[in-house]
Amino acid sequence: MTLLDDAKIITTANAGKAGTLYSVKPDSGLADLGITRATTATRVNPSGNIESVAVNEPQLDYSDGSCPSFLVEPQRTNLFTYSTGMPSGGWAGTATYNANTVVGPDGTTTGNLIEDPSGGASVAAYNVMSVSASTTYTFSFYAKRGTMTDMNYSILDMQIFSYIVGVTSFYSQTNSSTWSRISVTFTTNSGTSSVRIYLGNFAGGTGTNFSLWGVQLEEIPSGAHTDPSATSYIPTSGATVTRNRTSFYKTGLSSLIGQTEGVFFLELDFDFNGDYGFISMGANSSNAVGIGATNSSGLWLQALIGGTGLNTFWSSPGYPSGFFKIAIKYKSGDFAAWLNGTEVTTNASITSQAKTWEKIAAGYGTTGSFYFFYGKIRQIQFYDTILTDAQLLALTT
Amino acid sequence: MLALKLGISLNNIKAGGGGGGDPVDTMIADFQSRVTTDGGTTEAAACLKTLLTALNDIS
Repeated sequence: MTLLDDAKIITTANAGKAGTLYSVKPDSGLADLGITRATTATRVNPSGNIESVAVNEPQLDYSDGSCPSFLVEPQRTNLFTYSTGMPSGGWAGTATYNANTVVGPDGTTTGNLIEDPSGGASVAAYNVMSVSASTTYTFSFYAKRGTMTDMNYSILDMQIFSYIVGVTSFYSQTNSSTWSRISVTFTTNSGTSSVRIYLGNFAGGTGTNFSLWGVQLEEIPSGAHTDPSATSYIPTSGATVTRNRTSFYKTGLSSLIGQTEGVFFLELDFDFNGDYGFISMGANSSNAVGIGATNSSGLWLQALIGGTGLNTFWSSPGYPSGFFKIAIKYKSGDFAAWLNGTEVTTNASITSQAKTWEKIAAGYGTTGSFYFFYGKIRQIQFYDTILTDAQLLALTT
Repeated sequence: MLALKLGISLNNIKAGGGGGGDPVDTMIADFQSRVTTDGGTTEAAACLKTLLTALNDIS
């Protein structure tokens, strides 16, 4: 027997439709995850192009390479009313806009060629955006080199005419053959109500140009889920657009999840720098096992048994960077966690897991209704018996 | 008899989408069939095979 035989649930980012992320095991479909997102979204498809996905359809995203991951994102709004098609949507400045002349990352001719018409001291496109005071935003865009020898952005507080983000070159982050996504996070001042966002070459250069597509300005909520990373592209055309958060949830899994012992395995990339976030297997509001992140101190593994939290606050490894593999082994008196091939914590004081473990959720609590998980998932697996240390080592390596 | 056995074997492979062969290929074929029947789409089969093969190598 191999782990392929032993696994009761194997969920990957390889198949979906609106409302469903399919699990490879079991073949009955019992463990197919229910996906909820009340709006459309976008993903990077296998060809590397950005494309729209339907309401409730999982974002099987290839941003990280040739193999997909399931993208689980918070709600965000693109505050630009025209993400392409400049100069619509309030863009102005000394630059010449050649709208819809360049093939964008979505494969359509919706890219803009930003050109210096006069060879002045500087050339820039700018847009004045209404913002809230003392609030964090992330500005992102796609760029491709043309003939300009430098490319810059800056962000100006229009109330005090002082840069919040000074003139910054993004030239080194780009190339002339593919689109690169550039992003910058900034926090407005206490009196800021509008900012001017500049893109251009502040050194000038007659006739020089670069390509621009997909501008996005997202407000980063304070408190919960404050990861400032730019989220997936949100297209707009005449009005701001909100992409709702994605969640997944599945119940009725008691025949697949080990009731008194088992292993819960994930390969994922957490959105850290945020609030608490969990993926959990649960029995009810008093009983759950979760793999998650705290808001400050690192990974958080928790076994909540009989309403009493037996918490393993695990901060010593810090936040793993990028994708990582983690497994929790649970059995009465035998709790352990393995991370990337190393047993990182053990606990022998859990005395019972005799509950009806039957749920998996992108969050915590009975229905995963708080501590939402956000990030990227490559694999979810469940075993209904514990695995040996050798197996856990191999599984998480 | 040899020809008969060979014929049966080939029929099994064709009908099962890999049945009787590599268990990973069989699992992927069954998965793709189920998803398609349900109206979904599958992708990145090579990635899935790599993942499942790794599991099948752990005993």
